[in-house]
Amino acid sequence: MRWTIWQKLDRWARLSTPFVLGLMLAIVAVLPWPLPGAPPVTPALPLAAVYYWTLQRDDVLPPPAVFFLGLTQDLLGGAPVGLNALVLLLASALVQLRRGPLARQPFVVTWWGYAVLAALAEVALWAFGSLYFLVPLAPQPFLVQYLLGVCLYPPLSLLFAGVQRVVVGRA
Amino acid sequence: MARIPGPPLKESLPLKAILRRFVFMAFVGAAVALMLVGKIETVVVEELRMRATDAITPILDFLSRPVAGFAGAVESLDELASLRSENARLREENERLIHWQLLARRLEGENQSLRDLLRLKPGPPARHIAARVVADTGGAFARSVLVNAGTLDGVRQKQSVLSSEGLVGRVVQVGRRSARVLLITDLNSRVPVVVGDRRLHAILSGTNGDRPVLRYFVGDDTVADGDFVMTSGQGGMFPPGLPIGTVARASAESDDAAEVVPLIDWHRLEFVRIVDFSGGLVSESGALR
Repeated sequence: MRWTIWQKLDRWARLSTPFVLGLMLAIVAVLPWPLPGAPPVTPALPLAAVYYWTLQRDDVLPPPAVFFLGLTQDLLGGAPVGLNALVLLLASALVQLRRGPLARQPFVVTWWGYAVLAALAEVALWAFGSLYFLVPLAPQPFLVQYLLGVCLYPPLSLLFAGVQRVVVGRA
Repeated sequence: MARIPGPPLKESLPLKAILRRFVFMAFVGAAVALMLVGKIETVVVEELRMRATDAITPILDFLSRPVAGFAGAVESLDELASLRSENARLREENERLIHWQLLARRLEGENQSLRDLLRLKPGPPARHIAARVVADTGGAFARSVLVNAGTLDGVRQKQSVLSSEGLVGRVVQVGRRSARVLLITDLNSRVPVVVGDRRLHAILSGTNGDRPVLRYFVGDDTVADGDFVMTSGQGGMFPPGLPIGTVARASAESDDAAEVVPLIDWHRLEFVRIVDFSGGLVSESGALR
């Protein structure tokens, strides 16, 4: 079957939507959100994107895309450049390993899977960050970031599922 | 023929999977390399960071407006709940402030006449640049904010940043349309300050927490809870007399650190003033004027 140029463009646009959405989430995360009583944090929204898409359609976020999502997060936030890129790549590899059993589970199970992955990711961020700055960083912001990320996963996964059904699914 | 013992060959991986693995390893390597470069050659990576944030500032500027509106709504709901107690508190504070106002007026007049008497040279006039906070960057790793003013607006590195309440921090990176402000709570922030009526000199150093700490007191001086902290102007980085906060938990036993509660409510930081201190004591080249 030969594809016309428009069909190719259409497919390309559909398949790149998850990546563009991930970039937008990285930007949204650094906006000055009001969180009374909490330290300023940047929730790990791109991690949710990496987790969801690696589980459901691992062809739409290949390693280069994951790397650039992390890099965007690093450049916009104050994290050491390369840190989030590294942690996101490792997280995507970890999800790849458990992909088979997890992908077809009910939502609660995948949510729980995300909670475990996000915990590992925050611990890795804290550990690598402390190593980088050569001082133990305050753990509290990481904890707040983690809880926020886990709470935001259900609405985000709804968004991703919608995008998967309407945009990506037909490509 | 006997088979050669050895590790069993993996089921032949499709070429795609091998390629994917290779690409994965390459990008992991790139991430680690970037971190190392950032640690050794900070300037290069920070330049890259500024370019990226500069490019994305218009988007952040656009998006941060509704977020600020949302923040306002949340806040007014919050305030509604505590209206009565807040009112009582403000009444009490007002009484106290009227007393201070009288005192300030008297001191101002006295100060002016003493200055006239001494022919004291007034400090250099400062120019202010107003800017909006468009991103609350950093979080767990650093305390910094991004504002929507850059070199085009006259913002330069090391300028002091104030809010209506007190000192926010200083400009550490400038792009054309944006600048990154290192908050006084950041791990890398050091501000020379004077504390209390006795004007004890110390360094206010950030911890990435909400409360920076006072270090390096001269001599065996001690501070008390509630002592006022403001910039000393030493080192020429900040102009003298900018209000910062009050001392809390002065008697930290472990070392000479006392915590300071900043005057600024970090959750309400929406607009800032960047003070152009270019007429200051230290010129661009670092030489004393």
